[in-house]
Amino acid sequence: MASRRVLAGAVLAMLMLVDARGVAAQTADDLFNDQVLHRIDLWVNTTDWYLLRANYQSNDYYPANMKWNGTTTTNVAIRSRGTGSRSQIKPAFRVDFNRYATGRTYLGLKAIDLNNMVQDASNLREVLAMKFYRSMGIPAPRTAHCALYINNSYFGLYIIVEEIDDIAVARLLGEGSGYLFEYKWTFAYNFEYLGSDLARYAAMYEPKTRATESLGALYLPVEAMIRTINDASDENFVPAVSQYLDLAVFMRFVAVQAFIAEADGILGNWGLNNHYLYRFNQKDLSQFIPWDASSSFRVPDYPIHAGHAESVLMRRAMIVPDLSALYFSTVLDAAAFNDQVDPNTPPGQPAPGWLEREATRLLDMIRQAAYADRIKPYTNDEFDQAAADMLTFARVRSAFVRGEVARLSGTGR
Amino acid sequence: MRSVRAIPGVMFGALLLAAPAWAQTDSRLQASSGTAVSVPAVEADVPLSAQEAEKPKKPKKKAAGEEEPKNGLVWADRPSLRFGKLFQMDFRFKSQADFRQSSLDLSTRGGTFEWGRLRAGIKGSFLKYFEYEVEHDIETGGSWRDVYLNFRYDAYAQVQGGKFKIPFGYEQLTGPMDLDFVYRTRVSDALTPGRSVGGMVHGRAFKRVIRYQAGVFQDDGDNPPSLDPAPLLPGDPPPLPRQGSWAGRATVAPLRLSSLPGHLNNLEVGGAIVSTTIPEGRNNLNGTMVLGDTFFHSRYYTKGRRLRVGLELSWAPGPFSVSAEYIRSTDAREGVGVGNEQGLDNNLPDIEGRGWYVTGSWVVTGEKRDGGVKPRRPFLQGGFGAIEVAGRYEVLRFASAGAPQEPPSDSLRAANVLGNGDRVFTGGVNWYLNKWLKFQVNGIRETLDDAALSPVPGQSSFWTVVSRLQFVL
Repeated sequence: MASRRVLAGAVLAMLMLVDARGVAAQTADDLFNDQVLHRIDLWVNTTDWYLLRANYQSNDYYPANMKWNGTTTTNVAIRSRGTGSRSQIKPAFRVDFNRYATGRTYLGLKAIDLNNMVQDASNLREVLAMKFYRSMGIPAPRTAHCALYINNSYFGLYIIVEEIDDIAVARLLGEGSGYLFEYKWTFAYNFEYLGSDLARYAAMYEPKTRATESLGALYLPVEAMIRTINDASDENFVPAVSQYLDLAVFMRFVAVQAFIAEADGILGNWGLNNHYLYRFNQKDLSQFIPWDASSSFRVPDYPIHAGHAESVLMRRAMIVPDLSALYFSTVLDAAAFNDQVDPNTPPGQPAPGWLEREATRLLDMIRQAAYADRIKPYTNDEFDQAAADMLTFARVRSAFVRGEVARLSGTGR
Repeated sequence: MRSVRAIPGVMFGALLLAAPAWAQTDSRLQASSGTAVSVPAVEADVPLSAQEAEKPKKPKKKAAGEEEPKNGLVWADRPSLRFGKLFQMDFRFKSQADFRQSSLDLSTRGGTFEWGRLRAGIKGSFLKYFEYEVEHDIETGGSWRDVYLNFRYDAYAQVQGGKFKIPFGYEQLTGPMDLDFVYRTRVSDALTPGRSVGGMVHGRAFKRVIRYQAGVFQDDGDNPPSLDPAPLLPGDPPPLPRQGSWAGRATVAPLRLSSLPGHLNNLEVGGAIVSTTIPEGRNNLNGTMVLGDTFFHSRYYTKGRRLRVGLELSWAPGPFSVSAEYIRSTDAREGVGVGNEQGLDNNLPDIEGRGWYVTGSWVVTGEKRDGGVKPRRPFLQGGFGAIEVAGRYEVLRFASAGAPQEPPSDSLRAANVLGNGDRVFTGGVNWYLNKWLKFQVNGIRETLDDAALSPVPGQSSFWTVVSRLQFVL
């Protein structure tokens, strides 16, 4: 107990040093500022707190107050969230700002997620992957680490994740009035055409906006997109599919995903997973947005063509020379970005690449909070080992990727 | 519940005791009404708790040749079984049929026709000192209404036990068949406790200048009808049943001390209080609109004392009447907050329900209003009956007491709950065809404070027109 208090005290002292910003000028960018370890306080009635954990598989909401950066927001709603990451010991949370106050936003946000990182012993993957996407020009949610306090006691290390909703989509893609779907994994699916029964697509893509519209309004364009991906002739593939997807955008997205070795994404080992699909308003055109990157950065020699053969869309797109070339060039761009050194590094000093620098910075920032997190499902030694593996990935991934590109494309750079 | 069931058994036991005497009497039904019968010991339609408001009946002088009261099964505005002062049992039947139109969709609100009430029961007295009533809803799934026994040692000292209305709320204590309007006020429906099982002492003194009722009950009444139980946590004690309540009501009729004539001196003012303890749960009092739509829900956690306080005024000079009430209820919220830096599970401000109404009426045909309108010339018996016009304005609002400095919210544990209010104007005409039949037409204009919490989001005002045909035996 005494050591726990010492650890909690150390975390608190560290937070006071790291997060010693004023309460003025709060914006969503401040909340997602990954340069600091945030402190978020939640207050939940002890009965509700017990029930939330006892019924952690349920999506029941409970009232809470939330404090961040000196300001308390009353009457937020929290619930347990996640699929594989659902946990009774260390629940992940959805914090909804307008459930108990219709129309209210907090810093312009309707909700945030507090991810528990129970599937990532390094506590780094989500933040680094989303930042990598954004740095490569791929629209992705903002994330930042936080020390979560519940009912005046340090609870654990979490990440604040921007929820993908119409507000986030408007920021990311320039409009949010279209149709937003969250992909729900139900079986190993790889863009095969499932027939004209819209219910089959509805089972995979849960509407997040315009959810009250008819099945046809929601899913006929989805069905048409997948039918076209499957049925268009090779000659007509690009113009036909381009009605539904910007294939260049898609190829850049999956190329970055390949570089970060995302094993559970669009080209995942278990079929499609972890993404949102947004269809622009009054158009058939859709775009993918990445989500939940806890399986990325695991294997430095993860193949860059993983999932290509299984995915109908990727298999057919890679046959198109321009798209194939775009894919490989984007993978190489990602490798170059990964290796980008800090231009201010003094001569003669070690010059780590971007990913290694970021990982090191984040580790320095979160280490004490991770150690003090007594409910994480791994030991401190396992955390240290996973962090070391992350740094290894950062150091060796680019070389491996370049070799793979040379081998697969016959070009190399 | 067991005690409630036992009371009818006592009543029927008394009936069995009286059966041999009945067998020796003339059981023919008297055909005429209002003659040849004794004055009932218990007034029709008004529960004992409210009877004290009525004037004592002067003994009628017997006209020449008038018969002595008959024993046995007689007709006294209703079938009645009588054996002198030893035993009396009136057989009662009440029905109300409503026809409605509204700017709200009635197809989801019970339709355009609805049985307002359909009840049958018995009421009477025995052994000089005892009075009783048993009444049951005879609709499908109906429940026991009043089931009580009253011991009347004297006017100033009476004891009543059983199931009956907790003495709170002038309008709530007025029998449903004696209301000036089709529907009770929102404030009475929302803030008065209704019926419970218990006992009370009551009576009147100083020539009915003062009346009092004080009692204890097993719970806080059947309004609202049930409590949401708090979830049980490991180690928690078993859930507490509804806590008992205590109630008190007193009225004063100061003009009775004056030299004003009897039809002017019935001004009465009073106050009442009911206190109980509510276990933890989402149990705040709710507010409903005329057609039953809820404009303030029982969604907030409460725990601790529920206190209801009421003030009342009534006056019925001749054909006119005026009455008004103010009721305030508070539901405590002890330890049901989410907490803060100072501690967990903090106390929250009470949830307060506050309402008032003013009503006035005029019997155009001139009959006296006090004690209920009795047509001098019943319909089809040489006259048209009695006509009364009435108007009422009422306000009912719910909010956090003390209005804490935070935005209102409908969070279950909000310090500042998202309040709402309902303002209702009702205009009506009552046609008393005879002593059994009444026809009422009401126009109701209802306006909610917060249109966002309306049954039709964005629309705050609604019209309802309701007519009621009432038959009471």
